[in-house]
Amino acid sequence: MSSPAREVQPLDKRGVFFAVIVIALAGVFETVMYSAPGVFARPLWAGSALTLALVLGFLSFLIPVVIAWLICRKDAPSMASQSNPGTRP
Amino acid sequence: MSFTVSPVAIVFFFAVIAVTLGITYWAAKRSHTTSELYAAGGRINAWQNGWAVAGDILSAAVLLGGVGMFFTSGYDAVLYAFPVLMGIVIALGLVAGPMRRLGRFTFTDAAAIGLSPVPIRIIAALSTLAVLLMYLTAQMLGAGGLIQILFGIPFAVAVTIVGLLMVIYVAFGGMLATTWVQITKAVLLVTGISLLGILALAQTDFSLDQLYARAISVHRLGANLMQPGGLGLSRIEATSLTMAFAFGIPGMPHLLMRFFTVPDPVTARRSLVVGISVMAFTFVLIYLVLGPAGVAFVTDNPAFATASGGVQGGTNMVVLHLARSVGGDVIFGLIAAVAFATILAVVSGITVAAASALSHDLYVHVFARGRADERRETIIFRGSCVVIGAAGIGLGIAFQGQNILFLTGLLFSIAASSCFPMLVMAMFWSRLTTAGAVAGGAVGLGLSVGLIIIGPSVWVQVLGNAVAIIPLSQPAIISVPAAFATMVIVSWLGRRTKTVLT
Repeated sequence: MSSPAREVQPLDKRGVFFAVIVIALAGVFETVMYSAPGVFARPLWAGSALTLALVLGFLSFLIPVVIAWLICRKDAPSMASQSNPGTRP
Repeated sequence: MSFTVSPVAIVFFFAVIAVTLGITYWAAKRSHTTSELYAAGGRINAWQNGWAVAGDILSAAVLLGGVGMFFTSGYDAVLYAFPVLMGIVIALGLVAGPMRRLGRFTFTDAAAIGLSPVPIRIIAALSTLAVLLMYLTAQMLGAGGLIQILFGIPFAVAVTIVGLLMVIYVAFGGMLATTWVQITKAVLLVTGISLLGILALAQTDFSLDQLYARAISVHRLGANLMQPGGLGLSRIEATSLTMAFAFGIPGMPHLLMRFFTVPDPVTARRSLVVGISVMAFTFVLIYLVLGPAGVAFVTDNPAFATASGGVQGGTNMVVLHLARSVGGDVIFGLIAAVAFATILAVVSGITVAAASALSHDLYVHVFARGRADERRETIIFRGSCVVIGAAGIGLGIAFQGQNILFLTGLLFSIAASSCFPMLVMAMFWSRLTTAGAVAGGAVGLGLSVGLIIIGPSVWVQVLGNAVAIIPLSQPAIISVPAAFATMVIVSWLGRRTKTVLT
């Protein structure tokens, strides 16, 4: 007979799903960075010094914020009672 | 070094010290129990904790190093920013809620549940101390260098001043003082760099196009300034760097402690949304506005150049040169004070977590086997703050002049390879055994340290060898999977042996 398994925390499926999404997007970003760096150099309009690098960089900072908001969007207020009494005021 | 001491910077410098000591005095009157010292009594709200989390992450390395790295390597500097935000998302999705439910004061409280506590606490405390002492050393080196340059104070004296201040903040004000010092610093940082960004853009009539054109025209990389490749990292090294930050952030002990300062798991998660928003705003300003502005207004500017063609004070000082260039002495003084406040706040956060590992994990749960009373634990905590402060001052002075980049890389790798796997597996994998957790934590810790030593950062740059034994500057791509695999294999083997014996 094997020893009994420990009691563990349930995984937050929503959190895991979005964490995987953000990791996948980072993979895409780095793949483009290393496989097709020229994409970053494309000007936003003819003769402009602003390139796609600016837009992609901005998105790499903005998307994690949106994903963080999506993870917490449906947090139930009832979760508030699941705290450890050790540090409650 | 021909920096002139700025009276405005000195005034701001003393204002920062006065405000932070005032916060400590206020907090000290409210911090008597262990809960108050370790976790601010769990009374911090989501907005406050969010700003404090942002303050923990936005160290001087981000402000000074971010602009400096863009100055030398261009767009690749972004590789040091977006994985940090990934790390916050992973912390939010996986760690924050369960940590707040399970733990009391340190991340080890959560990692040790259901396992034999003594070996888990020992390995977790060792990982915590390894990570945080390296972080402290890197911050002390930055602090000493900055204050030495700005105010002409000798390096050892500068490091001692920072060390004494951080001991005072933490030993008397505990987590409450540290949290409010972090909030104050984060607000100052965001205000300061926003002002600097506006002033820099005003130089080009608020045209980002003109700013970028000017930066491209003066930088050695030319049009490649805004293309990847400036750091010369291979694809594997870039992935490894990303892993170190993405899994290191949710394994940083001082960040994990922040989840105990709020009343419940929902607040812990919401605070990360506030924190990631502040960080993303700061990164946009630093990497997409101030970085190019630093190139545009500091490159080839004779006022900031050395005789050999470099930048006065090194590239970490580019943001301060930019401040002087576009805002004169007042903005220079403000940004210098912001950098100083940033260092003070970050070292305080590190000290709380490191002292807690000594007093709560090692003293109370290992040496006293959980039988220490509250009064004794608070005394041990305050004594631990003094020990950590002395260690920080000593390490800062001992490592003066060393390249601090490898320390920073190492600490994130250790956190990603040891603290993060232990925490995640303990919380979510029911088959994990104590032996598996200890073996995995030890393998992660040992591999990340060992691979960094035989990699280019130490083997070539510090020890002076011609070629590195392993050509990876960042070992996370090896050490993180190795730690997880060891935990699975050792736990499986242990259970199988038990099954056969019974």
